Amino acid sequence: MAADGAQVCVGVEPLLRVERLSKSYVHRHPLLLRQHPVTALNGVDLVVGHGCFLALVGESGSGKSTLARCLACLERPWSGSVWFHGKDLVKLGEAELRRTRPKIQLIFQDAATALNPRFSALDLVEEPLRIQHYGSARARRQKALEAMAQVGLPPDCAQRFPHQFSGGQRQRLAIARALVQEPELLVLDEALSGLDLSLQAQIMNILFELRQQHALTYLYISHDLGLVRQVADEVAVMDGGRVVERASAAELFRSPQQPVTQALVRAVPEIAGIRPVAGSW
Amino acid sequence: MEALLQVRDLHVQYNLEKAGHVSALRGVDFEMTAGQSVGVLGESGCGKSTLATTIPGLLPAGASITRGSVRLRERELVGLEEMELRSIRGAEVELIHQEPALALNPVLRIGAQIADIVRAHMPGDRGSAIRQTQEMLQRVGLPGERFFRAYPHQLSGGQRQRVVIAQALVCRPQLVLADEPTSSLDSTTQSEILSLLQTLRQEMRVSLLLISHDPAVLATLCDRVLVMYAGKIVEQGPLSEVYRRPRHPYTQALLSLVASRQSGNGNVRLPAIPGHPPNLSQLPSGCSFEPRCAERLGACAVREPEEVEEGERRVRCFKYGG
Amino acid sequence: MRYLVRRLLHAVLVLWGVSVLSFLFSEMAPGDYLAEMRMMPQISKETIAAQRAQYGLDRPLPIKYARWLKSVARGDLGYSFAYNMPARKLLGVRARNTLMLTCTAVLLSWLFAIPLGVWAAHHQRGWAGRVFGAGTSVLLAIPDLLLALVFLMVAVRTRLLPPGGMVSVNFAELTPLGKLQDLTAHMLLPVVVIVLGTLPMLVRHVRAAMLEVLDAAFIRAARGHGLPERWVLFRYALPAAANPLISLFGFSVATLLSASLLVEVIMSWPGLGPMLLEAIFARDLYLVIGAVVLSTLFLVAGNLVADLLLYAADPRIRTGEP
Repeated sequence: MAADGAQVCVGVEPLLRVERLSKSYVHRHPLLLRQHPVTALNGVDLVVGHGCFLALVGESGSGKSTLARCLACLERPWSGSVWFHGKDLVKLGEAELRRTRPKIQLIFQDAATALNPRFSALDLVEEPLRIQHYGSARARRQKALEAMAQVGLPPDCAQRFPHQFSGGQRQRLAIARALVQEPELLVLDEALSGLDLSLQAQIMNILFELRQQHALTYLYISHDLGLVRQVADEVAVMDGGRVVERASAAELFRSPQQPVTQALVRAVPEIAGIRPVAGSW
Repeated sequence: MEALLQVRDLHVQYNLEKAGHVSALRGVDFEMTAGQSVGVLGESGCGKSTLATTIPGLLPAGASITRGSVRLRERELVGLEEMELRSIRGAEVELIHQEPALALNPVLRIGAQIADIVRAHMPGDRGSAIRQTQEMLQRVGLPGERFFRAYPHQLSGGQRQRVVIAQALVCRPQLVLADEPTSSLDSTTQSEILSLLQTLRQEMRVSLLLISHDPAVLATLCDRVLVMYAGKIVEQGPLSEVYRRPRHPYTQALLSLVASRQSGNGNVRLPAIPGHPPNLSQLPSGCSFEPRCAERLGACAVREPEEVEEGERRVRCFKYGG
Repeated sequence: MRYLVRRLLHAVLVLWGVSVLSFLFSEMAPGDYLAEMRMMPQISKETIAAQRAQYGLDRPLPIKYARWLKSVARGDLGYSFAYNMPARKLLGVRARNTLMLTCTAVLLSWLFAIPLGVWAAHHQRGWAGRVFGAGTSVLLAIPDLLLALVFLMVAVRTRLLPPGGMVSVNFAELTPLGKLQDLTAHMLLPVVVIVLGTLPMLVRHVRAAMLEVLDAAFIRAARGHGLPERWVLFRYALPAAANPLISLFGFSVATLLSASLLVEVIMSWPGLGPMLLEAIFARDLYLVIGAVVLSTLFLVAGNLVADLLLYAADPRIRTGEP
């Protein structure tokens, strides 16, 4: 529960520990000799506890997405360490990295661009299993259908193509594809931004269920503090490539310390005078 | 006060080649007076974007207005020739699209993209167009030569949105339609843009039709709200009243969601409206919200409710008659 | 600047490589310039051997290549056995003649292709689009050879235009205006054939590039601001569609010396093509090499030109989009 979320994360063995992670992008001008380095990560320190729902917030350009990609091993940082199960992911060789990648899955904001439009839904969810040479064709199919069912996609849509799904359904498909690989940590990079409010809630509920069933840990990156306040156990704030504040969700919203956090909290639009209706929703 | 915009019984259909017709708007009725700010609230697929593109006659090929009327100050817009519509767009009605990055030409400087609009609609030479452009850029917070000569890819998302707003307002139109103007921005930029819209709206006395799926965004700017579902307006009225005492079950459900979000009641399970919006090509008979409604009555599955008026509020629900 | 230097070095490398390969291939091809002479029993072996020594054909390949390189450094391009004169002068004249044809043809093709392509994209739906599609398909399917022959036949039958050659017999005696007229009359048919051969492909590319851009959100936004359609097409759409077209233009420049080979041969235009053909049959070594290297020079220059144009035209490349 978010209200006493601190208890979930405190005193729990860390699943992932990030130490002084740094990365810059060097942009080379195509014709002239000029180069300007852009610092994306400037010594990030972060600990993600087992089973924790940690939200990572910050403005555009604060480095959130870069951090997500580094954690999912899609990019290599310049310096620092990422400790996962006693090994430093930054220093792992390609073979070991391939074994570790399935455990940390990344879900993007726009699933439509992440899904190959020529593959059917079932193919897309099976694909990671095929790459890992998991079991027989029948076992793969079974596992894929199970994952799809868990995210609320019935088997009769298995043969449909991504463009035939709605935005929310595509996002579920992306989650199913991640689920199939039995991850331990799910990194969601603005995965629910831009969706309708009710859809956000539905998919978040699915994520909650999956968390219970599969003992997952979530790193949820977002700029939408309204949703974060509702669902996260703890919140870490990034600014200029570093983590500048971290607290339980309730604490952060009650008394934000850093100016950037205060600005983010202030920016959440609120409607005065509305009340939740107790109903059978 | 005289009506600025009158939409009556508007029906819009999309012709999908293999899948037949889809009714995106199924009888939309509302009015706006000059200087008002009206919000359109609804989830994806409810027809709000279609409404925004229909009014200035910007429907894509394959979509058509099958019935109804759209009057801008007593002038009928439905059925006008493209040439006449072109003179109205930009000068009297403007549309702000959803994705600012995509609305700007990547190979032209933003100053030119704004000045072109001035030259197309206002009298005067190139010099006066440039002056008006610079003035407008100043107003939206992008002053100076540097921004005038910038290309879109050199600006941040928030800055690009300011350029789009400048484009929309530079000819001082009477009506601006803004389709989810902030949904692609992060929250601090979002509040900046919304307050910019508020300031400019008041200074330039422009009427605004703001579309969003987020009730909180509308609350900051709008006097009245129209709640849309499956191609129809299911509730409309003064925003503060509708939010405080929503009548239609859909409105109630939506606002309840937002309220629980605000109170930070992080249950392990979030309240959500069960199910999803209906497939517009396979609408159920009867009220389109009925499958998800918690307060179903017998009549709900049989026919569609009519609109019931009470003072300034209108609702389409059998609970209140209809 | 560093990029430019790199490209120039690369170009020199390509030219050098091509020259080496050309030498190698001509060495591998059976026979040499004197092959025919050897088949005639009247000419004694000693005469042939003496001729070989005189032309330097008896030296091993690396020596021949080194001598050629030295002469290139001096500005020479070797010696033509068949014409009995330095290759450079010969190549210069013929290349000039070819360029007269191809430059005119390329210019005309592009001048026609752009408006036609834009028009075709704009009227993509409807009968005009279908007629256009059919027309270009037909033209594309007709082999250049056939076109050239047909036009030649028309010229011969109607006697309206000279049937080949570059100038009339009495060219030297004509007035300057008369000379111009004569030249133009001779150029007309070959240029028309080349243009008809390249125009359909260009128009299709322009049309395809335009269609892709016309679908973009910023074009809809430009129309939404009420800009005149002419502006939307030529000021907003075309510049954004220019990238693939610029590369194509570079290709046009690259093939300036080679595109007209067939037409020159059929219509007896004294260009590089016919000469190269003869030289190959006659094993006129240095002429062949010279022609090939010259063509490669144009190829490389064409690509460089395309890159520079791309840099100038696309602000995203120019300012280094991060």
